[in-house]
Amino acid sequence: MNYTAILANKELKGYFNSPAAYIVLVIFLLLGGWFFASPLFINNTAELRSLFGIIPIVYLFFVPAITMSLISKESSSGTLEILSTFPIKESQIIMGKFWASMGLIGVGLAFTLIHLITIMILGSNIDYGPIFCGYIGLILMGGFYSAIGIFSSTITSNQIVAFIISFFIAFFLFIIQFSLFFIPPFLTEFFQYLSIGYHFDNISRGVIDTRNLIYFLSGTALFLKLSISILESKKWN
Amino acid sequence: MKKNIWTNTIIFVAIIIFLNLVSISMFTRIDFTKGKIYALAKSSKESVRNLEDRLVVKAYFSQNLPGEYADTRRLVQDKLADYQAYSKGKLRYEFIDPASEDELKQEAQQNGIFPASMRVIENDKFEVREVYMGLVFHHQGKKESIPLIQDTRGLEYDITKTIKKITSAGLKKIALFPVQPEQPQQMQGYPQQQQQQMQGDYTSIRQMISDNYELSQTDLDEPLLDVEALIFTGVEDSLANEQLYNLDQYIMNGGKIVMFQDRITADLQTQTAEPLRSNLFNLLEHYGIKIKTNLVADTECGQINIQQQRGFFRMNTPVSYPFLPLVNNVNKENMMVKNVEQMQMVFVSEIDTVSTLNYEPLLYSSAKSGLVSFPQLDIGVQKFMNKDITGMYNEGPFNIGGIFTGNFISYFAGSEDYPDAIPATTDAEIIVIPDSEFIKDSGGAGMKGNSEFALNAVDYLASESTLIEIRSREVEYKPLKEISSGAKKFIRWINILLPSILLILVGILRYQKELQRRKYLGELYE
Repeated sequence: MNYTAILANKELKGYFNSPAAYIVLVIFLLLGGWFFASPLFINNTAELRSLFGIIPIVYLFFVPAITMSLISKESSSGTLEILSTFPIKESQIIMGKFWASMGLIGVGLAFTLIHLITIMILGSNIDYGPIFCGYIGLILMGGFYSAIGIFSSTITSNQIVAFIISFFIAFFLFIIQFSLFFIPPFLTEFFQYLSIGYHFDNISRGVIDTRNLIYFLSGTALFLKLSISILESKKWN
Repeated sequence: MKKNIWTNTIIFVAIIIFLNLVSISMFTRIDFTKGKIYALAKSSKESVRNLEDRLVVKAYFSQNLPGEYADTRRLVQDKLADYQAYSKGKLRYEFIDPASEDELKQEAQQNGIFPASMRVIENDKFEVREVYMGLVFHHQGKKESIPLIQDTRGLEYDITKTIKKITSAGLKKIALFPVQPEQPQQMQGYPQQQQQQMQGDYTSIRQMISDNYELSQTDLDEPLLDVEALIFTGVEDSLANEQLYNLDQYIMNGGKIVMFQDRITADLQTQTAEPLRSNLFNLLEHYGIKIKTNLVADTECGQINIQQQRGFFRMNTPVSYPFLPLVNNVNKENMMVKNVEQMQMVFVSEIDTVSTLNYEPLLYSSAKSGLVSFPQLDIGVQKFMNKDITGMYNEGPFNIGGIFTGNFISYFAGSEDYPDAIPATTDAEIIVIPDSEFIKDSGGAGMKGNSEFALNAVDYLASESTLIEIRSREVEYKPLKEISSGAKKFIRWINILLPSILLILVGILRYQKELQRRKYLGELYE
């Protein structure tokens, strides 16, 4: 039995059976649309740079909002204990939740393809490389933030606290890029490497670099592993 | 058991950290951009592939650069590693931080690398620090340097150019005609405008050309020898017979010329225009190169400021002036122009494409352009004031720049006065741009596209076309189609609202399906 897929499917359906996910997604799409369309004819260039500029900022609120309840709701309502009586591993629970969150992010990104179609109709001489890589970067970034969100949701049974924790971790990774000026020079390279925006910018210019891939994937794996370990240790408590 | 969980976790974290540390020094990249603008260009690879001797690059870089330059060192290192990979072990590079020892500082300065002062925050206050960010190339006892790398855009061009410079026997020679007045040493005390006139009118283009070539000037009183290409910046009068002969014989020797030559002289002050009279046109027409006595008016154009009396005030009003065409319409097949940004023309004429020579067009006016032809050369500003000029012209596009090759017959063939004249050639190439303002400081030289085109043309004629490839690799301009302002508004709102509307529709459909399911289940268990 592939419990991960079953869990992810159930969780994703759950998202779409409640109005909350629609509200969050509509806000996500309206902000993305507004920041893409407003400067479209001022910049007058066939690219999605403005969209890729705003989505990482919207993510800071969007991803914690969709992940805050994933584990904390289960633990506060007691369903986590019921789940633990099934022959399901903690890793399958966490990965199921993770893929559900990625599914929702994927749906959100899929609707932004309308902006890409606009560019294809209006533009000429389009360079699809940076657009393709930009979307890859957004998926990787969404994965990283999802892992952070699930981790926060694991350490507390309160959804609001989970939201605040994941927002702050994500915001820290996001803001480093703009604070390098204030960081002592001997630490700038280290902090620059930590900054999520630096790696995203590198990918979104149209180059897939193993350094950026490893940063995103290992960051995602790290927080997922921490979540699994916390769940396992809760079980033994 | 619980202990095991956390031991595993710590091992996992250690692996993650190790993986990241390894990935910093061992990495690979795939460039998905259209022109592969982040991978090394073919010509850059070739510049190091055939090195006969060792080439050592010393990168004088300070450790701990201020925040905004933290990335520069890594980007430079990546680039140098790329060059090294293609050099078959001939290119070696090392990074040196001169701050650590005075001896190294001296060494950097002897190599032409001087520190730049930058403000950084240290101990909660701004401090000025000296930072080094330069490269020195050593090859067969020669050295060349790039003193300061602040911007990594164009870095590859600079490195390849320097490698070509240090490994070649010498710089190729380019000549400029007519001779420009030299910059006087002492110009203080002169009014600004006069200073500019004294500096000559081609300062910026001359500086750019001098980076890659040995640029000299000629008045064509002597035969032109060993010159790879001639930049002909335009004349307003006839040439002396001797000058004409030397120009002709330079061409007959397989000469390469890029010619910026007006056919019509126009004066905006008096708003009059008339054809130039010069024996140069007889020479060109003899070859088969004809510039028509007309001016191209284009609705895609620059603006001029017109002073208008508004009540008590004189106001400057910008007016779109079609005789300053903006050029985006280029021959995409030709490497010289395919990636050049928008160019600006000033009173340009049309080239006659009917010729005994081979003609390849390079630049065109837009489809929405038209002509005013001699004798009705009306260039008055009045008819464009406070008007929407978009529908005024629809006869374009017109040829406003191209390259002539083929069988050139000497203007002096069979002349008794010049018995030694070479009678013909098939090796000559002449690029004609019917606009003398194109590369003038006071004309189009300020436009990036104009200087790019001029440099590309010279590189092309001097058989250095490999440099064009790197120069034009910067991200291309990708304009959107022209649409009406109503359509713009519509598209803007569609993009803001449509994604959300579609999502809500999906939600409603799902909800209806759910209701039907419930109804069905209700009926089933009633």
